[in-house]
Formats: sequence, structure tokens, C-alpha cells
Amino acid sequence: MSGLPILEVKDVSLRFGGVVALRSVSLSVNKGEILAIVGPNGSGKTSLLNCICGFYKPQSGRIFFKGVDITRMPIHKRMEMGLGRTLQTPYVFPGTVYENIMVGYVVRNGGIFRNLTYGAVEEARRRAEELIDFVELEPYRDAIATELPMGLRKRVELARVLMWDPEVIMLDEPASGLSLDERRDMARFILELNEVWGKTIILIEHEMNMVKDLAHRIIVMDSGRKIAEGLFKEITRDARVLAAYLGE
Amino acid sequence: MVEASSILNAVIIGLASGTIYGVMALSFVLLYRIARVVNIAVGDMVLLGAYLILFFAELHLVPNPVLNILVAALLASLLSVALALFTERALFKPLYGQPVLTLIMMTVALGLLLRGATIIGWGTTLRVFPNQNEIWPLHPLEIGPVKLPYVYVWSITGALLIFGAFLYIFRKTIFGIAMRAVSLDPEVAAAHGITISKMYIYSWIIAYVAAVLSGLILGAINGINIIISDLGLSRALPAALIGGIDSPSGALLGGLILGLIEHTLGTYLNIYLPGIRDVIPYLVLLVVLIIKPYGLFGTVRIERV
Repeated sequence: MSGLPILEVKDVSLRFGGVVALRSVSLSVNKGEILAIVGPNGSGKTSLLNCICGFYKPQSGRIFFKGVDITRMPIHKRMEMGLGRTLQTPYVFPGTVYENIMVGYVVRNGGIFRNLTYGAVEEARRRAEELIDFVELEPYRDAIATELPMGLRKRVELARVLMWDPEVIMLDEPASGLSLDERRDMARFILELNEVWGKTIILIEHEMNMVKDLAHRIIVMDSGRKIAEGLFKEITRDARVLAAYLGE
Repeated sequence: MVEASSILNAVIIGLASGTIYGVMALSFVLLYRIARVVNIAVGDMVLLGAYLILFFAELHLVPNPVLNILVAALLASLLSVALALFTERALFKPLYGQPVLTLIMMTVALGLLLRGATIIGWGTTLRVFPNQNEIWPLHPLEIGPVKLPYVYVWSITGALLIFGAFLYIFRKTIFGIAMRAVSLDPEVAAAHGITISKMYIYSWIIAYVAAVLSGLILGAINGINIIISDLGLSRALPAALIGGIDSPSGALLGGLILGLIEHTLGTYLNIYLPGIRDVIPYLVLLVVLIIKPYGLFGTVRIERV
């Protein structure tokens, strides 16, 4: 199931003024695995993803993707290299679902003259069509994305990220705000992405059932530190994890 | 009593001059929508455009006066691309993320800079484009009862071309979709692969070219003089706000409404109340903003409190 490390985080620390968000966090993500990052609110999970995708620049530490140091690389370069992420609150702009997905085309096809042509639109449209099928948004393809409910927006965003065919997909709470049915759908998409499409997935999630069912490996964070790492049954027995979740 | 044909004439001329207000408003709207820059320098960009076109036209690169002015407009547009790059990279790039007011102050500075440059380069006396009367014959184009000066024919054609091209790009191409996506939240858009800095440069380029080309029409109508700068701002700003500050098609509509009211109601009232014509745009703006605070086509912002 898991192969060589594709993404490595080494001793990353992040501070906002006096607030320490990450304290020397290290982890590695193996090619082809689903790695879940769990932890209480404010434990640094999203900050960690933000460092990996480039929203935040850590004060110290290094991040390597496919062996390349990406710590200081601009966001769009990282995406071009094959990273992709969705947000806790999905980002959609007031255009159709189609357009919202098609925009992901620019990641690996950034040339302005190419992107003014009809050919580029056609190619993007074809690819978007496949992805709309995959995330089951067919009835909504011409709906205005900002008018859709949360569950569907999350699918729009996922499809957009898939437009540039990233190798590592970071999903920030893909199930939050979703109904039970929608969660099952989302879990199904994640599994298919991993097992059929061969994507490596980093998953931040509060929903423990989902983590238990999906993740090959779990990292637990608390107060900006990584406090445990392992299989689901291992971490649920870990005294520090129990303390972080249940209090001392 | 006003004759029916003269009313019709005023309506047509109003709409025609509205097209050029629309193009200037587009310049303003685009910068706001993509880069969140409230560009107070738009009139000065128009002014500079008029002088740049004058400069290239006076070189007489092509013997035919019509072709000559077109070539001059093309060269001025190309030069304005370089100016856009300079403006974005040197003046605005360091300021992104700063409060809106800082960006506005920078556009005020930019405007004064551009205006100063034209005074140094060309002085303040009224100039006209070379062979202006051959390019735009004094005798107006007569379509039935309507007498339309040729410069307005240019204005309509030019505005249709600019808006047609722009709306096609904005709505139908990947580039346009990316531009629309970036305007919501630049940082987050970057996580979806859109290079924000490029989008900012492109929006400055389009804004400059639209303003510079407007300079050709305003210069031809009013003569080329520092006054164009105020005229540009005082029409672009209300037109943009009437249409909705972030709507490109609203900019055209805002321009048309403004031109129409200025040349009908404005001209009529001006007989009784000289000077009212120049105030009319702002009166219209006031009324629109009271009824629809986000303009006719603007995005209504709902903010959490």
C-alpha cells in the first residue's frame, strides 16, 4: 500500500508573534497512502497544511516534495509540481459549477495566449466533464456555485483540484458540515481517489469514524506538537492522545 | 419648444459619448474588481494616452492621416503596456496587503505623477491631433434626421470592439475565468493554482490600454489639454459606480446612462442653469446610490457582524 516518502516535513516551526502554532513538527507521507492528521481545535493541523501548500512560511524547518525543497516556493509553483488542497470552507466564485472547476486548468497550462483560445476552453471543458461525473455533480453543472449548499461546494472544490491531476491531495475537513449521506459519498470519493487513481491523500478530520475507515496511518497533534503516530488502534491506546482529547 | 428631431439627435449623441465613458469606467472597474485598487488616476491615464497618441501622430509615420492616427493609437497602447508593468511592479506590488486607503493614496500619487509628466512634456496649451479635420470631417454623418459627428462614429466602433473583446475574454476563455476567480480572494485563489501577480499585471495592462484609447476620443472631442484628466475622472467614476463598481458590463451601461442624461436633461437644463451639465453626472450617481447602494449590477456584499 505505501511506498517511498513523497512529502517530508522536517522540524517545521511556525509562530505568529507570541503564539506558537507549530513546534518542530516532522512527518513524512508515503506515496499512495491515506494519512490522517487529527487533534483538538487549535492543535496546528490546518497551520501545518498551510505551511505545506504555501499560505504560511515557517520560521524554521524544511519541507520536501518529491525530493525538492519547497519551503520558500510560491504557492502556484507547488501546485504545478503536483500538490493540491481543498479548504475547510470551500472556495467558490460566482460563476457556474463548470467554470469553477475549469479554472483549475490554469495550473499546468498557465500560458496567457493559450488560455485565450477556444481550444483551451474545449480541453478544460472535456476534463471538467469527466470530473463532474466523478464527483456526481451532473445535475448542477450550470448552477451558480456560490448558491450551492456546503456539501456540493466541497465537491466542486475537489473536482477543481483534480483538474491539475495532483499526486498529493490535502483535504482539510472534507466531511465537516456534511450530512451523513454526504459524508458517505465523500468517503467513497476519497477511497476511489486513493485506490483507483493512486493519489496520496493527507486528510484532516474530526469525524473519527471516517478516520478509522479511511486512514492507513494517523498522526495526532496537540498544541502545535506531533504527539503520536501510528495505526488507529495504536493511537487510541496512547496515553498522551487520551490526555489531549479527554483532559488530564 | 424642443423639436422631436433635436431630441432624437441629443439621445443618439448622448449614447455615443456614453460609450467612451463606458470604456473609461471599464478601466476603473477592472482594476477594482481584480486588484482591489480604487484608481483615482484613471483620468490622468486618459490624459497621458491623449498626449502619447498626439506624440506618435506628430511623427507622421504613415502619410494617410486616418492610418497615421490608428498607428499612433497602436504605438501608444504598446507603450502603455510597459507603463502598466512599471506601475504594477514598482508602485503597487510592494503595497498589496496594505489597507485600501494606502492603495488609494498611491493612485492619487500616480495621477499627479502622470499629470506632471504631461505638463513637463507638452505644456498646458490646448493641442489638437494633426490633420484632425481630415480624420474626422467637420460635416457630420447624417442618418435621417440624426447628425452624428464622425468622432462619435469612432467612439461607438471603438467601444464596441473593446467591450466585445473584453467580455469575450472575461466570460468565454480560461484566462477570463481565472481573472474572475482571483477577484474573490486572491490568496485562496493562489492555492487553486491561479498566479495572482500575473492577474494583477494583466488587469493593469487592460486598464491602461482602455484609458489610453479613450484619450484618443476625448482628445478629438475636447482638444488635448490638462482638462481631459478631470473630465476623464468625473465621467469614469460615476459611470463605474452607477453600473456597480465591480461589474464590467455595468460599466458600459453606467456610461450610456450618464452620456444620455448629460446630453438630454443636462443640455436642456444648462440653458436655464449654466454649469449644471457638469454636475448632472454626480446628481445621477447620488440618486442611484441612494436607491441601489451597490450600483445597478454590483455585487451585493453581505457581511457578518
